[in-house]
Amino acid sequence: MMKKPRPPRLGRFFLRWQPLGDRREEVDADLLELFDLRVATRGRRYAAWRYCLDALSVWRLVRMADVSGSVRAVRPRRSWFDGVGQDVVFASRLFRREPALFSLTIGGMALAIAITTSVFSVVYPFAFPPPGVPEPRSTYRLSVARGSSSGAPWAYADYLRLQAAPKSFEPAAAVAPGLGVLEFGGDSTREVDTPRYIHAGIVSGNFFRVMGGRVSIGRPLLEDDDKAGAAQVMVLSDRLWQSEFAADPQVVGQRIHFGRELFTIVGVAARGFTGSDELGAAPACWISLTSYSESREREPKSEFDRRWLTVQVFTRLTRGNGQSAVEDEATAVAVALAAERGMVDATTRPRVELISFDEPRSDSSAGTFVFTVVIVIVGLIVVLTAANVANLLLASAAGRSREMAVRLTLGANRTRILRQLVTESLTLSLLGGAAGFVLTFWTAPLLARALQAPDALDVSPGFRVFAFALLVTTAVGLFAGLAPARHGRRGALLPALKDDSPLTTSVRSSRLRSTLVGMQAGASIVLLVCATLLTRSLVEVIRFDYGIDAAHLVQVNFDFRRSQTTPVIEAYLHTAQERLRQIPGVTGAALTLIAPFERGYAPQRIGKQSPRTVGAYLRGESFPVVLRHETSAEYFQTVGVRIVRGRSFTADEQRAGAPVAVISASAARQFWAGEDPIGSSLLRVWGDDDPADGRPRGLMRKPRGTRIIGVAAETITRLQSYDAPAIYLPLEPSNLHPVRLVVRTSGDPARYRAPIREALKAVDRDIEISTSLVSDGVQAQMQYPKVYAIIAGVFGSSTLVLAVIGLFGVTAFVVGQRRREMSVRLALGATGTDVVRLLVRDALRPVVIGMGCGLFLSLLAGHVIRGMLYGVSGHDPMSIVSAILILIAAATGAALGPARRALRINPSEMLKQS
Amino acid sequence: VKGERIGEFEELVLLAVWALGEPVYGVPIQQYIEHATGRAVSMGAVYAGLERIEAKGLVRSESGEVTRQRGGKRKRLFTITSTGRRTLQELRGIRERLWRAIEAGR
Repeated sequence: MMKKPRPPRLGRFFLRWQPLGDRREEVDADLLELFDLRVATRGRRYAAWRYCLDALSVWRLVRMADVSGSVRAVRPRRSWFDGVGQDVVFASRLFRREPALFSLTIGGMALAIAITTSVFSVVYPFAFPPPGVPEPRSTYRLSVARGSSSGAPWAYADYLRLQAAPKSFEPAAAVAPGLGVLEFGGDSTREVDTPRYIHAGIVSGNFFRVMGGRVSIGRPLLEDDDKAGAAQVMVLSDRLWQSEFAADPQVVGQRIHFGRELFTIVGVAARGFTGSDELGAAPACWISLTSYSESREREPKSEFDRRWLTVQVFTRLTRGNGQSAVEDEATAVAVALAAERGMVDATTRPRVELISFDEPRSDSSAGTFVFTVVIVIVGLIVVLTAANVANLLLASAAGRSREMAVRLTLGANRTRILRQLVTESLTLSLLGGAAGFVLTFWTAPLLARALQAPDALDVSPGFRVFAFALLVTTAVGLFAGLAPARHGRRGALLPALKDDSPLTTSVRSSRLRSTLVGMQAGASIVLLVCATLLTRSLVEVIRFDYGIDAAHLVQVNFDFRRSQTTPVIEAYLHTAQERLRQIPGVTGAALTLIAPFERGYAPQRIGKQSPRTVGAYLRGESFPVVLRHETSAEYFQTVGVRIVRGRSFTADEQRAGAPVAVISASAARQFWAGEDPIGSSLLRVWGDDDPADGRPRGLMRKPRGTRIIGVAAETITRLQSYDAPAIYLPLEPSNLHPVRLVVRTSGDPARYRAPIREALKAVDRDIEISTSLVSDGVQAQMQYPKVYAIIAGVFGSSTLVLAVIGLFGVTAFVVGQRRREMSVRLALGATGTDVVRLLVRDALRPVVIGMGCGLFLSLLAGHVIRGMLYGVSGHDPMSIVSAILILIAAATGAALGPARRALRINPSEMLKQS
Repeated sequence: VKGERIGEFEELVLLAVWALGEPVYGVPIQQYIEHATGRAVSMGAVYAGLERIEAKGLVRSESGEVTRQRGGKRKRLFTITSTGRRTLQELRGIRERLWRAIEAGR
């Protein structure tokens, strides 16, 4: 006999969870009857499906109870959710009993959630970046592997051969964006004071078509744009269009300066298209490989060779051709190319791999490392928050053992009590979580800016962030609620009912609470040490003596036409300097390749390169660097660099390109330690000749045998390299194209911008110039230490607040529990001070132990963040001591309040009571 | 009608109760409406409709006897009241007047 079909489990589940009250019997029967009827007439599946729908629809009956208020209105009684409202009421009553403590805990919770979710909203898009192309699954990068190394790009010449070879797929090429950093100016009618540097995507003509890139305005780059002699055209990214052109719909046809060339805008790419599988590598605009190569080749003295431009090769596969077949085809081309160069043995034989845009890429850069650190900190904060909520509830649960015992005796089952406790902690954490989530709308963009997240990153809190916040909040609530619940359940009923003597479990639970407080203290000290270190570093930065007159310098950039030859430029610059010096208030003008505090001014690496891995980072291996200045003879006097030994080079030496150099005092200390560097060779700064190319590393195009003629006083021209040694070389006349003029003024330098512009325009109206203030550069670089200090301060103070809240709660509870003991002590003649001292000392014990453990971690943390520190070592004793003092002071304050309450006990009353 | 209006679905439920004659419970009403209208009707909607028209005094209900058919579970049996009949007839009257007007105007 066939078994009678039963309604689906899901439907029965739906039905069971609805509070139907006295209608349940009827509804159950009706639905079952209907189910059987449908099984008979329409089949089982249909019946099951309709049963589920009906079971859900019965919800309307429940809602009816409120609407109609009819006599038969359903009152929830039998389901698990019955009485949740009651629990919430209980919880709120609990909050009312200790309003200060509970609002502090909720506030701490809000803070922690805000920080956690902000970090998440910044880190998440990093970990799971948006794909950047419309079809990430079928878009691939063709990566070349040789022997054990992989991930190599292609040479442009090889790409062209691949393009020409017969094959079943179509490759497209793009230059890795880092290479296309160019100065970007507005159109020539618009006055540009500060040049912007943007990443350009330098791509083949078929790039947009192959990658599936669409445009929102105009047209994409086409094959014809990538032909020799084609017009210089550019496609803007949506972001650049928004930020630089205010989303102007008439942008197509406008001409703007890019690098040395004038480009015509032909289109704007659709939002979200980056054409790159690396986040942070989203180009701001796209130009063709040919345009780029031609403009580089037109540069004076260009050594540019487009054949060896490295390009990334991409392709998009349609359903017809398989990945491995394409890999084989591309490998065949690569092997043929290698064979022409005689490189086909086992170790150099190339192999082409297709890497989908869908695959996560692991870049072990310092950025990832920093984010890991931040996530760990965030995890700490969440644990601290949970500890606080748990502590509070633990204290209140122990105090309520009598209440629990009464309820158990009256027949409440243990699940019911457990639910009560979990409801309380969930209510608490959800309140905090809601407040924290609202805060995130402000904190997330702040954090993104502070961490220098790429602009392409969308950090506004969305659904994911909300889900994450909810998850964290619920986890905290559940964890915090279950911990005291476990303890509450242990209690023996009778003693709890008889009097309010402390439970036998209180020793255990107070040990748990002490551990929690100790953990909080440990975490606090780590973050406090970071905060004090970074704050001290900020103070150091503010007090830095730059050694130059940065406050009075104006920087002038030129945009020489490529037709202008060196003698013409030289003559122009000569006259320009003469004219500038005639402006009243201008005290000097000098030429330099890079001005102090100029953006994009990078120090030069010297010596052997150390590997760029997280391990090396942790061990403190970094690149030794030197700041290299190439200047005219007047630079020292103009900028305010003092010469402490020897002399600076003369104008004649500069013009002749004499092999002389001035080094900074720190370079002298570092490389000549006690010896006299004057007359010595500069080679000592960058070590021996590099055997590979026979040229001294980093000393491109400089004659050997450069002699040191002077030592300059210490200067800071780039905050990030504040302690880097510097060298000053005479500016070669052939190197004038990217030159900057630095003008020293007396008084406010901003007032001189217009006169400088006029004077220079009077020399040659056609040469474009832009001016900027060196002090603005200083301010911009000052952002780093400021932001570091702010972030560390926020993290540090929030953990401190959390720890203080926790300690306050625990001490308050302990004082309540030890009232009888204290009254005995007072009755036996202890003074108030004795009692307070005793209580505070007991409260501080776990803090001190936790702090001791935390200090070890702090030393490690100080080491890790030393790259963010200016003028302070990672183990600066003053910072560590002040962090300890702050923590101890805060902890004492937190314990003192409740401890003093013990003094209000009237001993005789208290002892009579028991 | 005590100034209370009834909605289209409530009217259908009320008509079904009347049409089925005997004191009826949810399942036949649901089946009747589903067949008559040819659209899927959920049990919850039927319950809600019954609840509303009962509150308006158009039907009354009683607990049925325990029978063996439904595993000993009760039914709730609905009967149309005289108010219910009058309401439906008034509605029908209004509609017919309107239809006549439409046809006369054609």
